[in-house]
Formats: sequence, structure tokens, C-alpha cells
Amino acid sequence: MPSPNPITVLEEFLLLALDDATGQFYPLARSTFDCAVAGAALVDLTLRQRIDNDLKDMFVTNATPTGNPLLDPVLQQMAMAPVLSPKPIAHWLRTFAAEGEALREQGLRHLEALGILKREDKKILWMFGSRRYPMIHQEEQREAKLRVIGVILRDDIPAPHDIMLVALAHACGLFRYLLSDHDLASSGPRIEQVSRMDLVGQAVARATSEIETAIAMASGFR
Amino acid sequence: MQAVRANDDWAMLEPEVMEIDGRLDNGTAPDVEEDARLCIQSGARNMVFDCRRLTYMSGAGLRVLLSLAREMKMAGGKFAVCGLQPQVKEMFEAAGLNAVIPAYSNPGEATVARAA
Repeated sequence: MPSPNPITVLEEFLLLALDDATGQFYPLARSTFDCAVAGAALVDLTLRQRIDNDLKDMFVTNATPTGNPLLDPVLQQMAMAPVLSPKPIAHWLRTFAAEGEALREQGLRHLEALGILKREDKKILWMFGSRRYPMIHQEEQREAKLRVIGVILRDDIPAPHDIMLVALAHACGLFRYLLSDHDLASSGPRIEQVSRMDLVGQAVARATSEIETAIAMASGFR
Repeated sequence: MQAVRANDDWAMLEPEVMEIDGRLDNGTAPDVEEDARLCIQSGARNMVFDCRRLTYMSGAGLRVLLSLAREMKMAGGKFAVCGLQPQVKEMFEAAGLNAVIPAYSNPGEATVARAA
């Protein structure tokens, strides 16, 4: 069943990651951002019932194109993998994180085409490029942020779509920008609980943690 | 997969027990969700999924359980599962669903607990 939302989880995640005050992305580590974007694409395909997973593997269950130009190349690549040797979620995250920038760019272009945001390129001191994505229609971004924050601050059972967004946001450290210090301090257990409900989100969290550890070790901090 | 309504008590003094067998995955989850949702829309407010013969559950199955638990809670009702087999239990606990969906060992235990 297609999502009733005209924008994908990936695009909604991009909106969450954009600072509406500056029109720029919050300062997330590039590698973890790419991993979360890859996770979002996988989440979109699970919500469209094209792929499924268990604790061991993630696999294609229906290779019929979704009609979404951002998601179909991802589905196609997964469908080409040998059926008899399924791969774990982490494998697909690594595969598509390598294409994180292209996925992000496609998502942003679609949001531009929908008239939700626009692209502004500027030069600072005539040398350094600066790109902003100011919102044209803020409803989508505001609604996504309110929904995700609402999931964290209330004790309801969240909808699967919102669980996935929370898990992705948590995996790349986005809540420190979305919540006040007070709410962030008091919401840790709830964020952990909700994020755990989605196995793809769990895999993204593990992958980003491994990336951060690797970066810290390479920097000599551990 | 087969989902069977094991009792016809729609007054919901007793739990509505749905037997789920085989696999709960992308191929079967939509039908199970639709059947259970119809029950909720028809007034069921106390539902138990009897999973003693459910041998495999995927991420799609987890999402169905969450969606139904959410819908039942919003309707002011109760949703539970019972008889989780090893792979299903492992998935259920890995996603932390035991914190939001009560799990019992068998329908009898679920019925007693839900009626209390």
C-alpha cells in the first residue's frame, strides 16, 4: 500500500535535518548523515512493502517499481542481489550510504519541485560557496517536527512511520537540535524506547556508532 | 498464514482471540492487519493474537502488531499476544514491543489477565 504522504520518509528526514532559521542543514557528521539517508531510503521501501527484514537479513519481497524515481534505483539494485544469499541490513546501509549525497540531492530536488523549499547559492568573500534551502511552504517541515517531537514528549504508541523518523533522527544525533536542553535531558529513555521499535533504525544507529568510533580512533581520541 | 477469529463474542467481555499461524511478513501482514482492523472497527476492544502456531515474523509483522496496538489504545481498548515461538519472541523482544504489548504464554492466561 503506498504511503498516503506525498513526500518520502527520506525527504521528510531532510526537512527535519534543515534548520528553518538558516536554511542550512544542522551540523551533522557527513558520514552519519549519509548513513541515515540510506536508512531512510530502505525505510521508504519497507513502508511500500517492497523489502522486508528480520534480525538477520533484509531482502526484496516485491521488485515491482514504486514509481518513485528516488527509490526505484535502490530497489532495483537490491533486487539484483542473489536471492539465495540475502544480506544483512548493515550491508545495504553501507552500499547506499556511499550514494548518500546523490540520494540527498534527489530528495532536495523533489522538495524544490514540490515548491516546499528553494535553493540559494551564495559566495562569501567572493570565494567560499554557501548553499541554503529556505522554506517556501513551512507546513511540511513544521508538521514533521511537531509529529516527531510529539512522539517523544507523549507516551502513546507511535505510528510505524513516526517510529522510523525518530529512529533515524536519533541515530544521527538530530534531537539535540530539535529539542530544548530540558526536553532532551528528560527524554533519553523515551527516545531509546521508540528508536528500538524499528529494526532498520537500530541498524542505522549501530552503523553510525561504528562510524563515530572509527573516526574517534583515527583521530587518536580513544 | 491463516488468521481465524476463534470466538464470536463481539461484546468484548471476553477477549477476541485471533489465531495467527505460519508467517507474519510482507506477504501476509496486510491481510492480518485488515482483518484485525475490521474487528476493532466493529467494536472489539479486547483482542489477543494467539501466536502459538506462528513460526516466523518479519519487520512487517512487527509493524502490524504496533499499528494494531496503537489503534486499539486510541479506541480505548486492549491488545495482547500469546504463545510467542522462539523466532517470533526474539523479534518481539529485539524491538522492545514487550514494553508496550502484553505477552502471555497461552490464550487461557491471556483471557484471565485481560478479564481482570
